[in-house]
Amino acid sequence: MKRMLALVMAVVLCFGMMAFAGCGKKNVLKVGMTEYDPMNYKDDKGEWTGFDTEFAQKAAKDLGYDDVEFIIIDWDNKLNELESGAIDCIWNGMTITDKIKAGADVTDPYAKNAQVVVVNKDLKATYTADTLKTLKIAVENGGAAAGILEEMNISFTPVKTQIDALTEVKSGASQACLIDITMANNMLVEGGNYANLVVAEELAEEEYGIAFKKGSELTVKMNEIIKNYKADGTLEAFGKKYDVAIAD
Amino acid sequence: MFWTVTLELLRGFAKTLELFALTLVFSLPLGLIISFGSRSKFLPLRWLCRFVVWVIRGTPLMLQLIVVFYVPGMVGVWAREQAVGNWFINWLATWQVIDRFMAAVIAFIINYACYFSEIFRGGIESVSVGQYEAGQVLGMTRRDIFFRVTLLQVVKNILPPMSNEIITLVKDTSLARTISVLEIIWCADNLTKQQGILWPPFYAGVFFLLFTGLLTVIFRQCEKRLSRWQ
Repeated sequence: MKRMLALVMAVVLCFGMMAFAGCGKKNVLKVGMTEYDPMNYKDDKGEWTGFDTEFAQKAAKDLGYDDVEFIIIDWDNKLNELESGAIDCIWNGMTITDKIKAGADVTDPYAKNAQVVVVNKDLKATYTADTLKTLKIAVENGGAAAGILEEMNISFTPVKTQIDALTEVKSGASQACLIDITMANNMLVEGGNYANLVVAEELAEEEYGIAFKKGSELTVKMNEIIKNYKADGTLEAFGKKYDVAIAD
Repeated sequence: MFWTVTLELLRGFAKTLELFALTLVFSLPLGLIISFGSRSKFLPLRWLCRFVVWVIRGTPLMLQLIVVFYVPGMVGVWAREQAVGNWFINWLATWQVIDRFMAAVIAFIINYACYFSEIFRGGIESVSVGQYEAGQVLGMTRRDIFFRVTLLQVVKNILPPMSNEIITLVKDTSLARTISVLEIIWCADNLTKQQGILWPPFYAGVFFLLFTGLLTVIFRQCEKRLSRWQ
């Protein structure tokens, strides 16, 4: 019995050691993100691409990293991921809000965005500015759109991601959703999977930034890089390629 | 389209099965150890085991996943920021985030070991004292009595509740997506999001049904074979 116990303990211990070993040798910037067209998505070959993907890959070199690792995270846990060091930054078309600034250091804005109301084509004909508050709305939990609706005192169903919000409308579970204009421009195209949905109204303008851990020196460095990339037209070129508006 | 979805779901299901198998292999022996501990005559050990079982059964598995994955990293970060450095703080400062999948496996093993330990305890206590005494009369050691008399009856008695718990485990694996372990439900969900098609989650359900169906058949066979000792 004792021998068996010892064996089991040894196995459990080995397991633990394995878990703690094998942590980074190469200098890699760990970018936390969700799959999201046009910022970070996979091309036909299954490789990561998109505005933020290319931006991060280029900027990481200037930040002094050898490589970038893109890590899919649960957007609800993004601050936990950052605090625990599972990721080094949140870089995924993240709208700069007071809420995120309270939990992390955020860079200067690098791209512009707006929240748009998306509805079914049939609803578009009768849609006016007053319609919104009568609709069943789905928005990303804790995102910028949720903040806008809270301010307008309009109730909504919180869902996990923006694409979940689109799915809600497509399936008829909700009548409208609020998503980023960059995403709407890319997803709501003829022949696409969400072709029956259209933008009904454009709401507040906002800006995208990159979040680092509180007190990280990377924030200052990154602000410098953003300034340089704006000046030398790097961001402009990415923006043209992926249909994203660059911040002033 | 159907083919690519199937392939993608199969990839996720492989992860699900890996998590399921690893959890089962390690939580069964760990559960047995905990069940011995919570029946121990040494009181502090007994209280410790019962306390652990209470905490683990009393908190959501989702929370345990978050704790196992995020807390070591956070502790390490905190310790590295401390000015004073005694040996304990220095040790804490070496803590780092562990692999996501590994974190999920560890959380599942601990959680299921606690549930299993209670099933084992019930099984062991269901064997009458008379059998134990009979063994003693025949001059058997405690170890012999456990392995040659008690254990087989325990296995037979606990099979139905165990199969229940193991089937629950198959479905609980989908909780691992909380810490972004890309198992089958995550894959199905992602297909819905990226392709705008609504049926992959239901298709993923078929995978679960087939697998739990297989398990049900296996458990029924086991029960049949063990009923020889009725």
